[in-house]
Amino acid sequence: MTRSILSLFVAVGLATTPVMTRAAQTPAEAAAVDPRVHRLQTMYADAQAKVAHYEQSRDAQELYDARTLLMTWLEEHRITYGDSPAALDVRAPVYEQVRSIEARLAAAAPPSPTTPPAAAVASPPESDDDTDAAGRGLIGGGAAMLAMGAAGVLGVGMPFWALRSQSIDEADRAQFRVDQEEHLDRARRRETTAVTMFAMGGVLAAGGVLMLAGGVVMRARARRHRMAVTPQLGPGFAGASATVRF
Amino acid sequence: MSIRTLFGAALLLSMGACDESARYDHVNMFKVAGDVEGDVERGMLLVPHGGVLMFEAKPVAEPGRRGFDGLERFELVGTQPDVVGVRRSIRSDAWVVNGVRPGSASIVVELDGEPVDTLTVEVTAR
Repeated sequence: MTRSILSLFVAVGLATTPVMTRAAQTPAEAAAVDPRVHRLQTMYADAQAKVAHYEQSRDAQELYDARTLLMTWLEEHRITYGDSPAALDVRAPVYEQVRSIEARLAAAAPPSPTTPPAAAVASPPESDDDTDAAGRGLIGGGAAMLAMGAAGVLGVGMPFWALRSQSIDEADRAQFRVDQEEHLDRARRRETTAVTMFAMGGVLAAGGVLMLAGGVVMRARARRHRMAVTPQLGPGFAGASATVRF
Repeated sequence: MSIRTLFGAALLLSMGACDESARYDHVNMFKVAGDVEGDVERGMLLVPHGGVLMFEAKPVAEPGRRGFDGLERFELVGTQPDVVGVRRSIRSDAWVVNGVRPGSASIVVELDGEPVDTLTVEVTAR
């Protein structure tokens, strides 16, 4: 997925630059074509905004809209600048981006009835978003387990341990064996409950800590892969684009 | 420090903590009631023939370790009922021995069902 995102942004960088360069060639020419250039730039910016929204929302409608805008941009660019080699060079990256969008739309579309089941269930490679979501799930589950474990130890185990100690003290103070045995039996039952809760709470808390640690590591890895800096080169243009996903 | 080292250290610490459990050392005994001739001397019980000795007995853990908390099952079991009778008193932590006939006998100390010590009882002739 990261590679396809980069290709989209590379295409963006290559496609916008010649239009702007062309628009600023001479004041007279700029004044003559400025409304159309401005319209092309606005359309192009809207299309890239749709792509960016899609990266966040995963709403396929955004990609459809972006493709429509880019197709319109290509048509208007052809009307404005014709089919000269320079204009074709400018449109080539946009064509590439449209093809990339169509490929992603085809991949996101539901399988047709004629599609073999094996192809339909083929699992896509795990993306950074999947890793991030799994990390968040681990963190949430780990926190819940840790809370349950702590509640078991502190809320049940500790009070029962205190009650057990109280029963032992009462057994020590008892004058007769029958009373002493009664207190001791009660203390043994309370000890069993406390130890059971200590063990269960401890296991839950330890599992929760492990899940939390795993989730934090997975999220950190996903975040590392979310930022990319790409060099861009073109006719009359050199620069870099940074892609950061939140 | 690797995860494996951390787990190993935690395991050793927990084993060390478990090893701090109470371990039997001796029985603390003192006379509560009974015949004048009956007594507890240096861990030995003395009871006259036909007499009774009531004494309190509690297990004591090895020094430097956690003491017994009272939840352990402490029993004194007579091995020669024809010489001395041993039974629990109605009083807390108290036991009664009665001399059946003159002689020497042993009492087994059990903790949680395990024999851990042997006491000697001398039944003296009147």
